[in-house]
Amino acid sequence: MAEQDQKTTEVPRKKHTNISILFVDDDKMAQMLMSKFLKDWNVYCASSGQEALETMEEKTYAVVLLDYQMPGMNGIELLKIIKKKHSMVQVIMITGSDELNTLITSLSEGADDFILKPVKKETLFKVLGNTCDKITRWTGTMKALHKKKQDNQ
Amino acid sequence: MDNTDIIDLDELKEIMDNDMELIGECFREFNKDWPEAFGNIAKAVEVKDASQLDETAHKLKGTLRYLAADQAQKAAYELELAGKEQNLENLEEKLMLLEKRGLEVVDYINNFKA
Repeated sequence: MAEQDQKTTEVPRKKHTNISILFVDDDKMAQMLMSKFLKDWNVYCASSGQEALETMEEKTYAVVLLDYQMPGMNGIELLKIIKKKHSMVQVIMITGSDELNTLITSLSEGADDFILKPVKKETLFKVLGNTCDKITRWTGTMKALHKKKQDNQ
Repeated sequence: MDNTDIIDLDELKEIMDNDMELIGECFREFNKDWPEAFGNIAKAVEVKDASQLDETAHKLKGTLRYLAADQAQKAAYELELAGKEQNLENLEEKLMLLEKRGLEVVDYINNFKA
């Protein structure tokens, strides 16, 4: 294959790349893309809802990128479980433009953001950047509150 | 049909962030997986299993979407929709169209020169 003939999207906000991300999709091509796009991030790919839940028991993830339609447990079912068991985890749904009902349902079930398929790197980084900014703000606030509490004791 | 109708290369480059190596990997992956992906859909059509048809066609549609293969993606969507709506009429016709569009993608990839 020829060398890249145009500029590629830069990784924004390097400070966020230590945040762990779980990508859940049974589509091998989507996994290939995500692994490549997020190669500077701490990312793990799961092929099913069950595999996602198992890995979430072993490791803490700050962000879950979640496809809707998978064999077995679908994205909405998985979203509900994640929000119940790991309420601080940010869930970004990945849906097709022909799945708008699914998108509405997922937002009403607590999804924090969404990306339409096919996922483009620029959009992915923008949404991830916003989500990671939110996590950083929360973490900062929690630390400040904890310190204040300790100082008052 | 011109080649842009099979795979929109500009759109594909945008999706793949102008990474020609990644495009090559995805092309190889598609051509490797196509027979099985199509075979799974054909099997669902043969046994008239609407749920399986929805699942297998949806999966192929997603892959084709990443390849910016619009016509093939639409053909897969027709079968996915038939499965979702449990409308099992004219499935063979829709399957033949998907095979035609899918093989055009395979052919495009085989002749692709970056």
